[in-house]
Amino acid sequence: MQGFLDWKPLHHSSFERKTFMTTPLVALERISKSFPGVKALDEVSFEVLPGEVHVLMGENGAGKSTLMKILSGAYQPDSGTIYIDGQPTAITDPLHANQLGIAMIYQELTLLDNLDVGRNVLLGQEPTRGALIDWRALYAQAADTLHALGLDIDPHAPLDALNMGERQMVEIARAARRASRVIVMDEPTSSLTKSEEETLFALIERLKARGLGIIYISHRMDEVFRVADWITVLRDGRHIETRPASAFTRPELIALMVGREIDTAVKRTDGAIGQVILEARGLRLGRRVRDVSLCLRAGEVVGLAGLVGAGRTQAAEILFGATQPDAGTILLDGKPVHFASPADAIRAGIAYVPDDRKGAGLVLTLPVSTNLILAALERVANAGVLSIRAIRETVAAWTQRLNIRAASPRMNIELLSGGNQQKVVLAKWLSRQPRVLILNEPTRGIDVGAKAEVHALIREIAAQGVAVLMISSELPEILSVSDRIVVMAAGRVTGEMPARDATEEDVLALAFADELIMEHSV
Amino acid sequence: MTTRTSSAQRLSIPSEIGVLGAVIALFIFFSLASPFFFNPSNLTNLGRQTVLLAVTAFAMTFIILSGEIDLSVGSVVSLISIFVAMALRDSGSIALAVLIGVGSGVLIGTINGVITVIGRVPSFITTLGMFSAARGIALAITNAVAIPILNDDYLFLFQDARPLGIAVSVIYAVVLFAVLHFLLTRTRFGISVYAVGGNAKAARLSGIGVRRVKIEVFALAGAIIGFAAILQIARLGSASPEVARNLELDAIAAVVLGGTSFTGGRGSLIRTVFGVLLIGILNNGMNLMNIDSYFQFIIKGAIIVLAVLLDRWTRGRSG
Ligand SMILES: Nc1ncnc2c1ncn2[C@@H]1O[C@H](COP(=O)(O)OP(=O)(O)OP(=O)(O)O)[C@@H](O)[C@H]1O
Ligand SMILES: [Mg+2]
Repeated sequence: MQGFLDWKPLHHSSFERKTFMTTPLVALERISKSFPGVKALDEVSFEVLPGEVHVLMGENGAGKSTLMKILSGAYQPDSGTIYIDGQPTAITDPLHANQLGIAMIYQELTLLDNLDVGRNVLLGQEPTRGALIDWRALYAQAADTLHALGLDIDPHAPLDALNMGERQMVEIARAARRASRVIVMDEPTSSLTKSEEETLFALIERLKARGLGIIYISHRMDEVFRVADWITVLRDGRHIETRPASAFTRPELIALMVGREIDTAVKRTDGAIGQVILEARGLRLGRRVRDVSLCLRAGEVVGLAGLVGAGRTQAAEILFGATQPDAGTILLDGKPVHFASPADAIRAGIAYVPDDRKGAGLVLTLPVSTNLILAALERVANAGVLSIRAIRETVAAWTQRLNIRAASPRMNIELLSGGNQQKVVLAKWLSRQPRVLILNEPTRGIDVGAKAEVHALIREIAAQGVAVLMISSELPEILSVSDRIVVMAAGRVTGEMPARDATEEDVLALAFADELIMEHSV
Repeated sequence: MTTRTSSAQRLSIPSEIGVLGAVIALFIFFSLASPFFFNPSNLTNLGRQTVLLAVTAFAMTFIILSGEIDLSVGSVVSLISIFVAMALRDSGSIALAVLIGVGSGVLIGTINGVITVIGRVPSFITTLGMFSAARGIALAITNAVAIPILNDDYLFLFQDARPLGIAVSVIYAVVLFAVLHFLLTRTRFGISVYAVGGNAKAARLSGIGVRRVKIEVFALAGAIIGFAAILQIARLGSASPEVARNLELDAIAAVVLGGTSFTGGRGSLIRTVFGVLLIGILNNGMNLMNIDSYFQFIIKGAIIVLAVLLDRWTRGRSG
């Protein structure tokens, strides 16, 4: 029971919500939730009004996803109430949430790999004729949904033919179909590039116009300020502030999230750039990689930009021996090499941080500590026997260095927040101290403060003479961290430039260059 | 608000305590229900009866953790026991017999592994084939006639000896458990088994030779199965092509009862021990109570499903 004296206003700030006029579509009131070893949410209140984008911000592990999982029925709160149209409602499970018109795009994609695109989009909502699924209607409806989003994805395509960005768009399409009241987007753009982002923002506008409420979680400041009507900040599971987006300045917002002021500007120390370590010549692989030549030098950060589907991930996987090219050569220290498997590449001093942390970066059944040492087992073992001490030291050093928040290193990695999982993937590869470091979306899902630290770390590693290749969909990241920028489009390198005086427009022009190439080659 | 985990959570005891609780409950139940259950000679007998299942379930644990399955273990035990009995009969050398037992186990396991991994045949199919073929070979070699074990030294070494008053086969099983547990939790190989079963793609990208690890797991499981056959013929005093029918099902049941994930990557040998004890005590106790063997099957089936249901249910609640 709450006594009269315990009463607190929902939002202790001077900004008044328009809740007098409109009933919130959903309101979460004083929600608390604990997990073993951590209080993830402590009396958090939050609501969303019709036609509003309410952004939820906070550091990695602040409790954003947990709050949204409570709203979507995936978790039950320990205490607190959920109001739907002003009525207290217990949301029993995700299906129930769906029936209430609440749909969620989870941070970690939930598509089924063994089904095609159409079946994923309409999963659980398959049109039927009698007792049978009406396949023609299913693919027609899926095509409509995808088309309405401006997506050029074949509903018959098997899911594993799609890259991360395309998968994310399918996930968005699926949720958009289901939502009739509120749609929750938990880091929807983490694998998207500029042009898919635009598609998403157009979708958000349309959903707003239809009177839906949108809850949006992201660590990307630019897009937050672009889409947000209101912003709520969480820190360590507590509600800190709720204001209209226009009432925040960027440094202020960061300071509220982190609890102190930080500087996010990347300091580029112009170290000496040395010899070419790894070089690729004329790589080709099916339709995805048509002609890629690259060279990576000691001490240099090369930013690899391009649209989703440009073939950047495939090219990186070839460099790492994870995929065999149809043609092309790889040279290490000027000598041709053949990497039959990632193990070969790792032995040669190459490290690869993949973009798909759930599918390729982590073993979700294992604890944090085991995941962190998995790529360096020989370093923590003597004659095949693991040294508990060496493991503990490595894990302690890197959890501290990257500020990984885990209740215990023995806890299952699956239970970590998305950003903290990503930090484990980074630590796993950085702890090997490679000569060549290939990063694919290294800061995917990482909060602003930690992102600045990771950027500084990448520069520091390069300054020690490591050759770094960084694939990123975030142009500001590419522009601020790289020394040199290489742009790919439709499987080809379309140009490169020094990062020093490059602009977003320069990079985008090259990223869209394939359309020109296409016109000329046809 | 607590920011530190209790030691129980760190040792992940809570999820194992369910099965252990069932084991203890069953033990107490039979102690009360039958005057013959809780006495030294029956407990020794219980231990001896359970060794075969325990050792086989250890092998099965490795296989399941790596994301595979082995349906051939029962047939392979019977085939290898014939090999061992013949080697013993014809050479009289215990060392040679043991070598042949373990060696043929490694060979058969490697065949299963290579066909599964290199040939890309699902292990369910590969080992279903081996299940049928191994039993067939055993029957063909022996003409369906059992081979008696007449070597007293062999019988003493693997069955009759009782150091410290404990049945020697139980001691072998305990030592094997300790060795395998160390292998699984404290070596590169062990971690690789978990990684390969948990997420083969991530394991490969971490530089782990996924195919190699899987073949090694099959070979290791074969060696363990070979050892199971060595113990088994000492207990029965003969090698028969008919023994160990349904052993694969009991072994899989024991592993899953313990709570090891059927999809791989999650579980432990300790859990398997609990699963083995549950089935072992159940078999022994029901025999003592003279429960009709048809009913025994029914009760066992029901308890296996119930125990797993209960386990899932309590775990679903807690998190
Ligand atoms: N099922 C769970 N079991 C145990 N702990 C959990 C569980 N789910 C979340 N946590 C913990 O709760 C805290 C909040 O996690 P949450 O996923 O909500 O963070 P987040 O704000 O979404 O962070 P990120 O920006 O990294 O995605 C973290 O410390 C996390 O480890
Ligand atoms: Mg999250």
